[in-house]
Amino acid sequence: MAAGGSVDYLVCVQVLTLVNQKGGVGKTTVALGLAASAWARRIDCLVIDIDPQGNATTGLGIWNPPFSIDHALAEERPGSIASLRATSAWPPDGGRPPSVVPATPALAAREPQLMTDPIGANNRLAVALEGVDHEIVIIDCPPSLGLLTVNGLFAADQALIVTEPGAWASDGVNQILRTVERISARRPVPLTVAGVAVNRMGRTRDARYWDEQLRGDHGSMVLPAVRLRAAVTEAAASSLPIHALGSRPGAPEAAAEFDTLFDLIVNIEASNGV
Amino acid sequence: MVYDPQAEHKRPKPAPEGPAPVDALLLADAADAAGQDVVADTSTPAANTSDEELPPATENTPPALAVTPEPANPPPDKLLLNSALISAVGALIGALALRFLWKRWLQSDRPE
Repeated sequence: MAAGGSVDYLVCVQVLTLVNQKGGVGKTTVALGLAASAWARRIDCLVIDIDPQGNATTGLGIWNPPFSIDHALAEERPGSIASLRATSAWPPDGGRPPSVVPATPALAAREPQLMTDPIGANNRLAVALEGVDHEIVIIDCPPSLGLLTVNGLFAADQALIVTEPGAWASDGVNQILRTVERISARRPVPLTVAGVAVNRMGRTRDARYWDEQLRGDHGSMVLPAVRLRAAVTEAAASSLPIHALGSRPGAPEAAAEFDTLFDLIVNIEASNGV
Repeated sequence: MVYDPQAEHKRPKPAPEGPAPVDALLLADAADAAGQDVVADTSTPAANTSDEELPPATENTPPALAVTPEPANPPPDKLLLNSALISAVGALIGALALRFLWKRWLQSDRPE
C-alpha cells in the first residue's frame, strides 16, 4: 500500500511486459508514461529495461550504470534482481521515484549466448524476479523477437502490446498476439494480454483509419489511444516523468492519458482513508 | 470519398495454425508446436532414465561462441609484402611484353 495524498492505492503485485516485435512504436515511451503514473501516485514501481539500447534506463535518469539486467540473465539465480536495483533520478518531490534495473549495450551480446544454452534460457528473468517485493513491475522489451523478448514474456503476468496507428504496426500486432499465444501455451500459468495500447495517435486520416482497423480487428482489447505530443518526448529527453512537466502545453493531457491507461491495466483500487 | 489504403490490396492476416516465428526460439517445444513427434535425445544425460550415475553437470556447459580461427603459423608481414611486390613487377613485365608483341604484330600486318 502506498500513500498518495488523501487517497491510498491498493495494488496487487503484477508484472507487466510491454512488447511488440515491431520497432519504433513507442514501447519505452509508454513504459515511462505508466511509470510516471505510478510515480505520481507514490506506488512502489520497478522498471526493468531489457532493451540493449537502454532508453528506459536513461529516461529514468540512470547513466552509465555499474550493473545491469545482463548480470541477472548471465546465469539462473533466483532473486538476483534484488541486487541489481538502482533508484531512478526522477524527483522525489511530488512522487515516488521508481526502482530501475538498467540495461547497457553489453546486453546485446547476451542474446546469442542464451541461444547456446542446451536446456533453454527462456525463463532466466522469471527466476531472477522470484521474491520481488514491488507493487508493480514494468518490463520494457527490445524491438525484436529474440530470447530477451521471450524472457520478458515468460516473466510477465500480463503482456501489454504497444502499437501505433499504421499499416506495419498493425501487422506487428497480429504477429505479437500469435507469439504471446505460443508462449502462454508453454507456461504453467497462462499469459494474459492486458490490452493493445495505441501510441502516437496523430490527427491524420491515415492514423484514424488504422486506429479504426485495430479496434475493428481486436475490439475491446484496444485501449484508449495516447496522442502524439511533443511534451511526451520532451519529458523523456529531460529524464523527467510527464507528470512533473507541470503546465507545459500538452503535458497535463498526456499525463491524464497515461493515468487512464494505468487504471485500465493495473489492478488497482483507490480508497479514501485506508 | 472514404479513405481506404487497403482498397486495392487487403493486407493478409497471419494464419492461426501452423508454426510461428517464435517456435524456433522455444527449442524442444518447436517440434511439438509444428505438430511433429518429439524424439527423445538419448545423447544428453537428461534423457538417460536409468539409475546410472550421470556425468557431472560441467559437461553441459554451453559451447563457446563460434569465431573465425586464426591460422596456427601466420605468414610474416615481410613475406606478404615481398610476394606482393614480386607479383606487381611480374604483372608489369607481362604487360610490357604483351604491348611489345602487339606492336610487332601491327607492324607485320602493314604492307611494305
